Amino acid sequence: MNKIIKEKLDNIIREVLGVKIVNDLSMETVSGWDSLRHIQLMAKIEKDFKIELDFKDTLAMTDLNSIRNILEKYVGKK
Amino acid sequence: MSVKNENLIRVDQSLLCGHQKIDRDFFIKHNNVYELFNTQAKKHPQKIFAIFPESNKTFSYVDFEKKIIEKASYLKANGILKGKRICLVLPTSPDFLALYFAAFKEGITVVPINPDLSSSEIAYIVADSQAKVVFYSKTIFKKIIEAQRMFSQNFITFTDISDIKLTTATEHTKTSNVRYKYGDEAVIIYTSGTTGKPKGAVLSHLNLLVNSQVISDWFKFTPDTRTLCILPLFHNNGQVVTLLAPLNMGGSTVMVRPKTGLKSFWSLIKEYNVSWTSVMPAILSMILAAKLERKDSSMVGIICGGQVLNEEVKIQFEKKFKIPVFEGYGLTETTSFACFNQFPKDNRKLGTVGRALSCNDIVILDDDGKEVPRGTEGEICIRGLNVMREYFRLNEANKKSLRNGFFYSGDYGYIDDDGYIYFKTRKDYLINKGGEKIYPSEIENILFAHPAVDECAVIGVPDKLFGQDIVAFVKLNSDCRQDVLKNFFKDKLAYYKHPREIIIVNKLTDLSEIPKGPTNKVLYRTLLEYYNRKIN
Repeated sequence: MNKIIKEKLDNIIREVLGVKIVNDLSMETVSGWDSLRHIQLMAKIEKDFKIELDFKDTLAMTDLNSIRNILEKYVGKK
Repeated sequence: MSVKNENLIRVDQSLLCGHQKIDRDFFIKHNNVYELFNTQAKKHPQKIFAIFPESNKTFSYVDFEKKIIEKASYLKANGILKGKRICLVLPTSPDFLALYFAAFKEGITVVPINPDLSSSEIAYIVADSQAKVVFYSKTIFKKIIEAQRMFSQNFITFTDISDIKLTTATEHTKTSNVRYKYGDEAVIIYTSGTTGKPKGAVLSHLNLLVNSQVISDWFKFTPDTRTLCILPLFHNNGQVVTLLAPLNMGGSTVMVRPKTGLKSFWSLIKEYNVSWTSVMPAILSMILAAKLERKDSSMVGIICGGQVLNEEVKIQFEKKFKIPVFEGYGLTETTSFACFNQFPKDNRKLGTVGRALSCNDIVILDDDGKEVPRGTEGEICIRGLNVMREYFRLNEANKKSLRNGFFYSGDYGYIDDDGYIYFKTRKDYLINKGGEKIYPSEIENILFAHPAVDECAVIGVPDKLFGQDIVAFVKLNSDCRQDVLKNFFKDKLAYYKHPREIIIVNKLTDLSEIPKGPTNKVLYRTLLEYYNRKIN
């Protein structure tokens, strides 16, 4: 993932979840990452990157690594 | 036990507790929950049993039976045998489900634990339930290590689910079924307690079988029924309504994690041809608020309970999505639902939580334990085959809640002339945030431990999405900021129990003290009135 995209994604995560970016960041380690925040996070990623995530991908985006990997699939296409 | 015919077993009610008996015969089809699964697996082995979209895995009945037997072999090989208890601190996953049924195969009790709880909350349930083994997922490794440190001796094994080594099941494991009675313990589900410590509701195989069977009958589930399990499996609703009820008919379940599933709610329903789901009212509110659009034509209805469904939300939801919502009422102590509004939709009586299911009786009792006339408000009390045996090792709570042949729910309501039940309010100050029940004392106990806090009181306040949210009032003995107090909850209490707002009464001009009655009891109602008037 290139640096600009990574930074843009980190900013989105920081803004929506209100956390510092650490490698083990996941739904289980971020206490406020509930269903409502997940909707907000996915919506913001879609809006800011101008993409439409497949619903199966939004189910699998449960930690920082999976979000980065899945997002790369979309931004790589553009 | 006497057998009516080869398929039906008449429940011998002389073996049950007083509050579990009803004055009519009741028949079940299986002796235990594993037998229920096994019967369906034999009947239609190639049919789909469960779909996990997150990991893109679909299991037929026969595929999943193999997984169950593998896990059962593991349990046996590791000396986890009949009568023992295991804790599952796992998200909705194939591992959770396989261990759940494997435990039942071996006569082991399952204690499901919310992985979002703090390490001390997890440790409390593990210790209280007297479990021997705790299965957890790697993602909560740090929390589990902290929980593990709270035990001075190593008599409890903590096992990362990804580390377990499965061996090929022997013929003996495949065929041998541990013998046990339908009244034996199946699960202990922990629910919020008035003292701040959770209470373990002991549910038997009979409880699970009966409740899932009547729910399946009520909504006329068929072998084609496919449910979406979007509520967590560590709660009774997810287990009974969307897993065991369709299983009764050989149906199937799409299983998703509650946190991620909501965004994809309608896509999941369309993709997998889902016909039913069960939700908390807060989920309906969130789907409306998120402006999610319906895409399917397969949904028959939505089962809804766990908290009061706002009439306006229900009207808006049904108008927008053209799917009937069937409200019901029940508690962990009644396995799941005790009553439902009538199916099909035209038979519903709006504004009510419906009529009692055939497995239980619901009456309204006054403070002297006498049944009140129809239309008169009192405490909703339930007896029946779906009522828990007891709270685990809690004599006082059992004496208080299980008496005169009934389970006293702590909820108030009335029954009309047609037998429809109206839920009105709680008897105590239990907070219901999006279906999660929280007693103020859980939060107050933490706040009291902060050196700057002299007094505190926690109330549930109205919230548009969650129904209720949490607000704490504190009186300080020294200066302390709200954010510092909020931070104090970190790692001590699950996040959903953290107060939305902490109000420091020292800073208020019209409320210098936390209001108390003559016996020094906090006047929670006065605080709520104050909040609604001044702050909200």
